[in-house]
Amino acid sequence: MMTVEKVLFRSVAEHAAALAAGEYTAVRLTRAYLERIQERNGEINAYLYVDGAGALAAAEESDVRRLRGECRGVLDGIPYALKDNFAAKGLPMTCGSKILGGYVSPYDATVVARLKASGAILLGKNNMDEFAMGSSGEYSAYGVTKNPYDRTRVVGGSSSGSAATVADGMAAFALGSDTGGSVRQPAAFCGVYGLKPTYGVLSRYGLASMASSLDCVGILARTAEDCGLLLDVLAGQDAHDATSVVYAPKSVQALDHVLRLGVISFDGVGGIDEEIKAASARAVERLTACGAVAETVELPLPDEALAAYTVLSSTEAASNLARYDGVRYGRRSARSETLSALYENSRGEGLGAEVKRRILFGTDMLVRGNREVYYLRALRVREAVRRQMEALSERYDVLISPAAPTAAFGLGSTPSPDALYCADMCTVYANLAGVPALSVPFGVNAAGLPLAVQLTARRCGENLLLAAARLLCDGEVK
Amino acid sequence: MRSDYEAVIGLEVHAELKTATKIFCACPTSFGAPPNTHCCPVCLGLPGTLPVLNRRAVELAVIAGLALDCEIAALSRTDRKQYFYPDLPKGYQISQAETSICRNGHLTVTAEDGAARCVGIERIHIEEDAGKLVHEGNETLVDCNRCGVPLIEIVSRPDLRGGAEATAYLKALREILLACGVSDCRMQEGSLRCDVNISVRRSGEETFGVRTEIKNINSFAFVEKAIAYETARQIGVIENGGAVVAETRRYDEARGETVRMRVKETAEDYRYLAEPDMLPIRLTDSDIARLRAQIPELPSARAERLEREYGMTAENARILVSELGMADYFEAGAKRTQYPKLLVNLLLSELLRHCEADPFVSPIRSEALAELADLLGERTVNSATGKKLLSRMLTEDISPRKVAYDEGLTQITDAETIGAWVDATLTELPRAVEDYRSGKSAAIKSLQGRVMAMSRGRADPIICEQLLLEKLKSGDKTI
Amino acid sequence: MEYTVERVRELAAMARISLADAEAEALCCELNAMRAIAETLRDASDLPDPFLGAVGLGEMRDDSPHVGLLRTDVLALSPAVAKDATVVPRAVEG
Repeated sequence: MMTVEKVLFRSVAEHAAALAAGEYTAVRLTRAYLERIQERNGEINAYLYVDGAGALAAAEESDVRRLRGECRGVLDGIPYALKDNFAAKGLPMTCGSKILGGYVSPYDATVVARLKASGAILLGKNNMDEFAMGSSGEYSAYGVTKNPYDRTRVVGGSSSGSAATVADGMAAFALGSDTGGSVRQPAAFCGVYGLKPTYGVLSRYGLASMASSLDCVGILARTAEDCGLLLDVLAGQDAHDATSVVYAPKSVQALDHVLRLGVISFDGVGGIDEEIKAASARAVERLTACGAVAETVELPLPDEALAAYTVLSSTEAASNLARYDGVRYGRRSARSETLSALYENSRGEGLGAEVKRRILFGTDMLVRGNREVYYLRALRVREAVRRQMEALSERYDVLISPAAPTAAFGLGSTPSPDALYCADMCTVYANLAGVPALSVPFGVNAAGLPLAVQLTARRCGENLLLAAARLLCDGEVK
Repeated sequence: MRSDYEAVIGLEVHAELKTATKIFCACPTSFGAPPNTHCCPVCLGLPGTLPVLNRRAVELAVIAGLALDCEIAALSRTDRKQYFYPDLPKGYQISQAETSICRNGHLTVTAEDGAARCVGIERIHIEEDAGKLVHEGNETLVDCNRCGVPLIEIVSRPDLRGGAEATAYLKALREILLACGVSDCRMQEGSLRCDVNISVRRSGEETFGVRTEIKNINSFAFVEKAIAYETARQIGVIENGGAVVAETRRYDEARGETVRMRVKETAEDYRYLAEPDMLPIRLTDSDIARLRAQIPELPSARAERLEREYGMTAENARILVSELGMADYFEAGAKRTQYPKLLVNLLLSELLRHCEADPFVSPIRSEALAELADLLGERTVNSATGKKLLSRMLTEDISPRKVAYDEGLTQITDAETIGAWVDATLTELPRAVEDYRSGKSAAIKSLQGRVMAMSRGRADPIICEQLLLEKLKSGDKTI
Repeated sequence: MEYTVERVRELAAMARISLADAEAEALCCELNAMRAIAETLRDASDLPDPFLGAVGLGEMRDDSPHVGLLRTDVLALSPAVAKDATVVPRAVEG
């Protein structure tokens, strides 16, 4: 007889089978998750808002549908959580920032609407680094999110609450956002799967933009199969998002040829822990034992790529955050005697230090004189990177690399510049090139902290990622 | 203006496009709705929203470009023009900076003084409108209805040299945009706006002087006045040994002056960002051909044709094309009458003041007016009767021919009948006869009047006059 | 080129963000670090045109008010309301 706690850690596929078999109802399951949240959230701070009433009402409807034989599919009755930069109608949406304190979204994001239509149960909104800027979970205006494995350690970011939610059994899956690793890195720190799909495959309508050309809706789940399942339901062009693309979702497939594996070399790059290197090597061994053929590859234009990422993400973010000014919605400063004061104080008081830093840099990179030198060149470098990644993906089905250079680090500790550089190197390429990447849990270290590897494929090659993840097959969250 | 100086003028015209929905969202664009009722998450810039381009806005921009002889870009992009102002929800305006849908066009205009000018059109691009601000005391009220309404901005080269030309350019531009269905072009509703860029230099010089920008000019008449004032002002500054300051000024209608708004020491840096939420716009040759076919006969070409085909004056032809619907109305009527010249006169001299303007709407059907023109041309009725009939036609949907016959209003041209009335008149008004014969030729008027009265207005006035003159000359008093 | 407190305050003014003195000073270092990363771009050469894709007329949105319209209660969201509008302190014409 499975304990309630064990049930909470089941995958979406397992829940779907259980619901279909009548092992439990959606209401029972939802209540169990709500109780878990109540029990755990005080310590972990993964949720900023829990919609218990709404969730139970939706769960009741799901059960009624099932009794009538009108089950809507595999997600019907499955409870999930949303990073707080997603618009869910009638629910608060803070993006982890004070400036949106009190703001309630009057509309649903497209992915949220699709989940609603599929029958999934929204439990609440997850804490996050403010406006998706940050990679530890320490940059929210609403408190730190802690790593469920070790509460003295960071959970990663910016999808901190979403990763902790899935890792700690507070929902069956969660949606996050990934601009430069914000789904994959916290997934790695928390021992869950984190998928950043191909840019445009999941509609961004309703996801508060940080860097529009880099942002992706991401999936955090307990198995690779769940990632594929969710992708199937959510993918597809959206009339509300002009950058969304047509995608014929494919579930996990067997490869029809020998897997060609590109092993990204980080030789000569400081900052990667030995245990991470060892885990990566073991992963490569596992795949070659399954018949894959591995070769070492170099990441193209490393310094330029990071420079381009820094410039593009900050210029777009500065622009996307200009609307948060206390004029039409959100929090307006009490010190608003003049229009200038209204703007400057609402933003000065409402935005955190990390956000200010990136906005100011992004502002500077577009001023006359700088625009030609930095911004326009960054656009071109990005295209060069994209082309080279495309060339790589023609020779290799999957690229493998660390998802993060270390396991979860201590709260309040600042990673070394080397480690920060390395962390970006691991993850930003997938965003620059618009290709899909998956963080795959792969064992734990001596301290019991999760380790992970990252798989990257070509555009719309999600099925290759999921197939390779299957082969790795180690790292299912207990 | 002093002849040793010349003014150098370029105009930036913004026209709201005649689409049903806004440029990036499905909100309605209709004017005059209660504040903040035509708004959705996208045009309000709520977190998470994205712009989706309206096809018709792009098509209308292309049509405007083709009508103004522009090249259409196969590929153009949108950019974010970034600044903070309460009427701009996103903190940036989506516009086109480095590229534009149209460029290198031209419009030839003739000013009132006869001077012809070929004005180059630098570019036409699409962009979104901002909201409306109402200032009350020390507060400003923000109405977001207009946020996201599609605009084209038409930027001319600095080829204009005076206020009259500038006004002619604006009128011609307005006519073209109206005829093509691109915009309603109502300055009073804000669907047509004009900013003036103006500098002066000594005649013959080739370098440009420092220019100022004049904004918020609300009518064509004020454009001319503002240009006149600013030209004189700049010349005055230079003549007094000063230098013109590059600045933005606004036109103060009450004082008839331009007034400084803000100084452009460093021109504002809009920190343009290539719009990442939308893809560039691709236009193919077949797109352009299909849109070109949607362009109707343009006003100047139509005016020339009307002049030629119907033998009307150039001035009348220009009036007919100056308002949407008028030329169509005329031509519909002209098909059904043998007397198109009379039709034009009826329309412009008698009917026009009773019609609605912008667009032109007549209370009388074109076929009915054509019938009236025929009646007059045939001389079935005289002009006095014609006026009476027209009067009635304003409120009743009658056939003037039927009424003329039914009610016995037709003109009497029979010389015997009229002769009898003439005889009677000469008998009844001996004093007038005496006056006329003694040299007061004006006395014939009262004699005519009496004949017309006897005929109850139906006598042909020409025959009446003829017979009167004959009989007065002959001195024959038939009693 | 190093960021000075003056420059930081100029940028903050452009971005409409008020800064305490300590914040402005701390930002100098932080922005310098970011600039150091971006500097590689200065020497980058031989780069392709940015690939942005394109959309044709056929793929754009229909001009129909019934497709995707979602009216929003503006006043319910506004921090300050008067006469059916959002209220701000008087805007200087600009």
